[in-house]
Amino acid sequence: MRRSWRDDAQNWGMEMSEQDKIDMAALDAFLDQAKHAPVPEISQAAMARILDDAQRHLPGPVAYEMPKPGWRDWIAALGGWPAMSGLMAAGVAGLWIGVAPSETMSDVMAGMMGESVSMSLFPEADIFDLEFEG
Amino acid sequence: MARRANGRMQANLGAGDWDAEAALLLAYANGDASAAQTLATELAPRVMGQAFRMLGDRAEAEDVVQEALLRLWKIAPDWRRGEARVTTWLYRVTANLCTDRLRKKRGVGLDQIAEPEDDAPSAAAMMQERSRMQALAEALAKLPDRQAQAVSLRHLEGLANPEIAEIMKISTEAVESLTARGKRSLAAVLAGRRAELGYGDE
Repeated sequence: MRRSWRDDAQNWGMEMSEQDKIDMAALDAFLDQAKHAPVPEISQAAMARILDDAQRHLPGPVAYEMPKPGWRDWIAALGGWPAMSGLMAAGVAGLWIGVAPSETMSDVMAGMMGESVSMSLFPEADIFDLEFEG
Repeated sequence: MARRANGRMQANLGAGDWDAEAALLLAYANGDASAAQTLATELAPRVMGQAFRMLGDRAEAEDVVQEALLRLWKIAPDWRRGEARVTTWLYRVTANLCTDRLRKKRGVGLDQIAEPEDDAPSAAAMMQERSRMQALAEALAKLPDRQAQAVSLRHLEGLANPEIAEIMKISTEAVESLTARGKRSLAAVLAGRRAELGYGDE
């Protein structure tokens, strides 16, 4: 009894019968024809679309010039945002010291800024608030 | 550097030097548009052949060519030399794109496949050729994707099993098994249509 391809498909594990071999030979011939079938040429329109894609996705040449640093770059150069918090705290502290200097600080500052001040080894004002009883 | 190498590489392209395609891709990645033109001229007809043999339809095959090459343009900046041959990569991408399309066609009978608008004088032989290619595509659509890919790479593209293994990223044994099962499935799908399609011994 002739077995059809469909039967074969359900019995893939079986050995090939003579009929299978003929069927497979026919399939091989069919596939071979398809393999050598003429392929239509790509239309000019399709080729134009392909080249258009290529142009659109053309990567630029590798950039060698450095971009001008923006404020973000400066922040990054100074250590990024974590460093910024410390920097801002220091700024605020400096501002405060400037606005409300202690008297001692103004003496020291005056000295640094070139104003002549006389200092005795034993300051009249006991800056450490130590009372000498004696 | 790649730009300067371009001229020499183009000269080698005809000799089937695979590295030439990688070099051209590198040139393209460095902003050389003419490298894309050379690549497209060389690769598009190959992809077209593979896609047409799997899909049996010119317009669909053209779409696949465009899509496959689009992926190539996009991957160009990340292409790692020596990792894979451009042609191997393209066979894989094209096979996947084709089975994606075949899967969408599943369930659509041959009669419902629209006749191409191509109104060239249709000789009987041409008609039969066309319907054969469409019948093959329809039969491939009924196969599991991997079987359809293995059968087409082996029997329509005529590639050797080790190359197919590389394309499909499987062992050569797996290729053999997939191809054998694929052919059995194909035979089953095409059973009863041999006379109609004008092949075989009946």
